[in-house]
Amino acid sequence: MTAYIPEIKNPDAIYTIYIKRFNPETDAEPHWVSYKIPHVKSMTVIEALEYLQDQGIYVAFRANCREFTCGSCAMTINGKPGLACMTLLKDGMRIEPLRGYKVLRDLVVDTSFAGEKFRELELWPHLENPEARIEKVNMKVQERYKNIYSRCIECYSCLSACPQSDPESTVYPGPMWMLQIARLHEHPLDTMNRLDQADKNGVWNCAGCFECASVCPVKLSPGSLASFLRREIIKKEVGL
Amino acid sequence: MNYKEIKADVVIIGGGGAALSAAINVGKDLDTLILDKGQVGKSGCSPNAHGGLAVHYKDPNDGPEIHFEDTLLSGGFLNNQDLVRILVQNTSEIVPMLERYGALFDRDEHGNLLVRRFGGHRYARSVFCGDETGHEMMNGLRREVYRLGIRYIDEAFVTRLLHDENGEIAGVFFYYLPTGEFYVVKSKAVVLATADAAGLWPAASERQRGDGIYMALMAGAEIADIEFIQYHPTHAWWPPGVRGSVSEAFRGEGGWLLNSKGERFMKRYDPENMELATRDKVSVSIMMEIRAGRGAPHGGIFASVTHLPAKYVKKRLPVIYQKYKNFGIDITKEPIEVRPRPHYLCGGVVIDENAATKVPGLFAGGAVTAGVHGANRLGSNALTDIIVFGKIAGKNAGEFARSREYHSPNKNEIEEEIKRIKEIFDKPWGEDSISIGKVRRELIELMDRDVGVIRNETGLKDAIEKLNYIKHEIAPRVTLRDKSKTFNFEVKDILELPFRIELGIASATAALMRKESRGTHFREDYPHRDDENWLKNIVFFLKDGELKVETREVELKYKKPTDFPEYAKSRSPWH
Repeated sequence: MTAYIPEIKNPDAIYTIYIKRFNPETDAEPHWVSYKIPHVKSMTVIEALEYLQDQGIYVAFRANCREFTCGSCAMTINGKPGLACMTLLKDGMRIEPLRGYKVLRDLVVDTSFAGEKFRELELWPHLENPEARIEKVNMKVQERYKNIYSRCIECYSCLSACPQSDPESTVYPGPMWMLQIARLHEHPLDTMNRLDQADKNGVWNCAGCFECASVCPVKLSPGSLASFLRREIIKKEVGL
Repeated sequence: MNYKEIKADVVIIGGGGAALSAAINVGKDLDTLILDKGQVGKSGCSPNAHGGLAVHYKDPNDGPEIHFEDTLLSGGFLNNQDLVRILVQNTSEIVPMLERYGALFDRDEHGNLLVRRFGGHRYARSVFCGDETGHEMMNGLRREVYRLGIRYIDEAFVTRLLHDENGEIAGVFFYYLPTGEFYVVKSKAVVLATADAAGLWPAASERQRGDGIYMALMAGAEIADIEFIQYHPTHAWWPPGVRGSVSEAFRGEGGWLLNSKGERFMKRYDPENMELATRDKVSVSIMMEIRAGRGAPHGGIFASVTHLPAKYVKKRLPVIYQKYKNFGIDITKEPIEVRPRPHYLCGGVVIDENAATKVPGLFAGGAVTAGVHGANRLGSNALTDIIVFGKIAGKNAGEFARSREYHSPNKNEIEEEIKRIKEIFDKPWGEDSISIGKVRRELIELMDRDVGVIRNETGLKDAIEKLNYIKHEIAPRVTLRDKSKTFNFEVKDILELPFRIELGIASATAALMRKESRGTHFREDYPHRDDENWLKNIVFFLKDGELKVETREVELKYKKPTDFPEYAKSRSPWH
C-alpha cells in the first residue's frame, strides 16, 4: 500500500486483470498471472495493485506520490506506457513492465541509466561566474519553463514508446533528453553550447511520429522540443 | 554474519529537498553518500509541494521580523525561536542559489519574482513555479548533486543507526531492497533528512512513514511535539482514483459541505462563515458530523457544487473540474466525497542551531525535525525549512566529520539488526499468522479515529491501550508471505511496523498529556488554549532502554504571546 484508501466494500463489478510477473530467483521467463479485482467507479491501476497487497499478494512495483508528479509508477498498460496512478482500471487489462528496460522483478525495471545520462550530458547550468544571477527572463522562456520543462516528471514513458531510441542507444537517447537539453539551452544562466550538444546527440533522428506525445501522462510533447532544437540550430547556422 | 561493508565520511539519509540540500553542503573534500529508500528526486514529499517557497520579502513593509512573528503565531509559540530566527534570516539567497543549480521561478515581464500569499502569512512572500514549485526546486537541487558527482544509492532502506562503544554515531545499517543484502556503512557523521510521520494517519500518500524520527529516538536522540498532526480539511476521499486536496477555492466559489441528510452542517459550527470558516474549524466540524453518524457512505462528507450553474463551475473551478473529469466524474452533476486527511507532522527530532541532535555525530534537518513549526506549520514554510536546515545539517556534519576518524560500529548492534530481519524471513506462515496489510489498515484507522482531528481523554487512553495490544499481541504474529530477496516490498512494510507502533504510542501519549487545544491539537474536553500551563513542549527520549517523557517550558527568547495582546487575550486554539 502506498497510500490509505477506505476499504472497497460494495464493488460494482469483479474485474479480471493480467499481470506479467517475473521473479529472477524462481522464474526462467516472465509469465502472465490473472487476478480478480473488485471494481468501483474511477479506480485506477495502482489501487488494483494495492488491493492485491492488502490481500498479501505483493506484485513488485514502484510508486510514490500517486499524483502523477514523481513518475515512479510508469508501466506498460494494454500495450502502451502509462502511469498506474492515473490510468483507469478496465476489465481484462494487461499490465506489464515498461518496455525497453531490463526487468528486475515484476513491474520494476532498471532505470539507473537516467542518473548516468544526466551526468554524461552535464544537464546543469554551466555558469559564467559562480555568483551569476538571473536579472531578466524572456517571457516565452518563462512560459515554457512553467508549462513544459518543469512539468516533465521523467517517468521514461516517452523513452519507452519512441521507435527511434532505446536506453542503450548511443545515436539518439530519446525525447525526454531532447526536452532536457532544450531546458538547459533556454536556461538564462547556462553558457554551454547546447545546440551543438543536441546535434551530437541525434536530434535529427526524431522521426516526428509523436508517439512520445501520445503516451506522455502529463500531456507534453517532448518530440516537439527536438523540432525546436533543430529550428534553433538552423537559425544559428543561417545567422538569424 | 553476512553483510557488506562500505565507507563514507558523511552519510545522508533521505532523498528529498532536505537530503540534497545537506549533501550539496557537506563539502567537496569529503566523501558524501546519499542513501534513499526510494529513488533520489522521485521519492519523498518535496516534488509534490505544489504551493510555494516562503523566501521573498517583496513588500517593503515585509521582512524577516514579520515572517518570524507569523511563524510563531501559527505555531502557538511552541516553536524553538532560535531555529525560526535562523529560518527567516537565511531566505534571501535561496532563489538565486536554486536558479544557479538549474531551476527557474516565475517572474513578471520586468524580471521581478512573482509571489503568492498563503494563509497565516501577513504578506505575499512565497515564490513559485506554476503549480510545480517543489518539483522545480528538486529540479535544481538534483542537478547540483549530479554536478558535484555526489554518490547515492537508491532503494537503500536504512533501518538502524549504529553507534561505537561510546555511544557516538559510527555509521548506519541498511537493507538493500533490490537484492535483499545487508550493508553496514561506516561513517564519521550522519544526517537524517527523511520525511515526517504523517503516514501513521490516513495520508493521501504514504511517503511519510516516520523512519527518521523513530531511528533517531532509538539511537538516543530526543523527539518532541509529535502530538501535532496537521490535517487538510477537504481532501479527495472517495471514489478512490482521485487524489489530492480539493482546494479552498471549491468552498470559496460557493461550494457546499453537506452531510448525509443533505444539510449544510457548517451552520451548527460557524453560522457566520459557514463553509468559509478557517481550515482547522472546518476539519473539526466535518469530523464532528462524521462521528455523529451523519457522514457520507464511505466515511467522508459530501462536497457539492451541483447547485451552481455548470458553466460557472467549469469557469471558476477548472482544475478541480478537470481533475474529477479525468476519472469519469462530473462535479457539476454529482457531489463528491471529501474528508480531512493528514499531510504534515509538525514535530520530530529535536535539534539545536547547528542542526545537531543529542547524539554526537547525528545531525538532522527538514521535515524530520521539531521546533521550526511549533504546533502548526504555515503553508510554504516547509520548503524554506528543508533548504535552510538541510544546508546547516550538511555543513555541520561535514565539519564534524573533518575533526574525526572512522569509529568502529558496535558489532552487537549489527548482529541484532541482521537477526531481526532474518527472523522475519525465516518465520513460516502458520495458523495464527497475519498479513501486514491488515495490521497497517487497523493502525491507520485507529490513529485517525482516536489520535486524529478531534481528541478526548477516553479515546486517547483507548488508543494507547490498543496500540500496546497490537505491539504485544498482534505484531509478533505478522508474517512475511513472500520470502524472495529481490525487491521485496512486503518486507519493507513489515520493517516499518515498529515505527508506526512506537511513534503512535508516543503521539497518543503526548496528546493525552496536553490538556488544552493548540494549533493542530484539538481536545474536545479541553477546547481552549491554555498559555498559563501549556507553553511547553512534550519531549520523548530513551533512558536505559525505556521510553521516557517530560514537559519542558518553551524559551520565549525574542517574542512572547503577550507581545500580541489580541492573540494573548483569545483562548482560541487557532490563530
